[in-house]
Amino acid sequence: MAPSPESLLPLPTATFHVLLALSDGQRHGYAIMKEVAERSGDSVRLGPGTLYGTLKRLLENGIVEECESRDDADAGDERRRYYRLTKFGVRVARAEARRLEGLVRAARHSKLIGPRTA
Amino acid sequence: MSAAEKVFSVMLKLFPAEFRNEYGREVMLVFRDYHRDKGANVVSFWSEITWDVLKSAPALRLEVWRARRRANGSGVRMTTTMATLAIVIGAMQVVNATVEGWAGGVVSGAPESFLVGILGIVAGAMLFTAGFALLGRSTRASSLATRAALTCLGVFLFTGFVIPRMSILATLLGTVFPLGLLAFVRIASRGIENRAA
Repeated sequence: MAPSPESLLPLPTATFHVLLALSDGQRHGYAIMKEVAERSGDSVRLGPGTLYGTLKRLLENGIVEECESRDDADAGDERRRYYRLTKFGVRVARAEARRLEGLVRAARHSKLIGPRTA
Repeated sequence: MSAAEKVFSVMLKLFPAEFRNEYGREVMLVFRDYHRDKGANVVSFWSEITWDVLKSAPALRLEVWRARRRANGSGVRMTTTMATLAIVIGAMQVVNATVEGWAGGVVSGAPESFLVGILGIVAGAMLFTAGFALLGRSTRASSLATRAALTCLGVFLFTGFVIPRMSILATLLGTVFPLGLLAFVRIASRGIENRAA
């Protein structure tokens, strides 16, 4: 029986960043690395080992799947593996986002942070 | 291959072989791109890469070790237990069926007891063989065990019709163990398929 998305929470920070990077389409390893650095304002930088260790676990859990590898214009004639979220992966990412949203709401309620700004 | 890539390929050896075989090439491609973009600041680049390897390689090694231990440890123990039980119960069944068949069929002259004895010997011998096949991790072990378990169940049902009064021990041996063996073979082969996938 497949696990429920909630049973995999909380996700490690690096893992959630990878899911966010894949949320708007398929990417290869280095594109994920760059996207994570860009989205986090360079505060999260995944090295090659951390990135592929994370991808390996996500693949094993059916959260991410490999697309057909293809040539990448930036990398000469090297074929690269592309990854994308599975339907289950989207559910896991949503569940983690909701969990984090709940934490932020609780922090706001406790006046740890100010009210939401536009 | 650049000097930086040569150094990183040595560092890659810290990762488990399974990981290197599956992702080594991709990791190297990412390293090459990253080195191209950020390699100008040598100290910062290499300290970041070294920290990343020192952090991720032991974690991946631990995961592989745990997965192997889970797969081998419990699997081997369970297989050995089931194989031993199959050998012991199979041998007991052969002896018991021989005695019963001889006493009921030959001495008392009841042909149905003789038939039950022969069937019992066949089922016991099959269990016995399946047990040794399981112990020896034979490729035919699961099919032999399945056939032996189904034969035992068949013989038990047939015997139940011919000799309605059977001991609790005979009932347990005749039904519970073959059912357990069938379940074990099913679970074990599913585990092998999952590992292969």
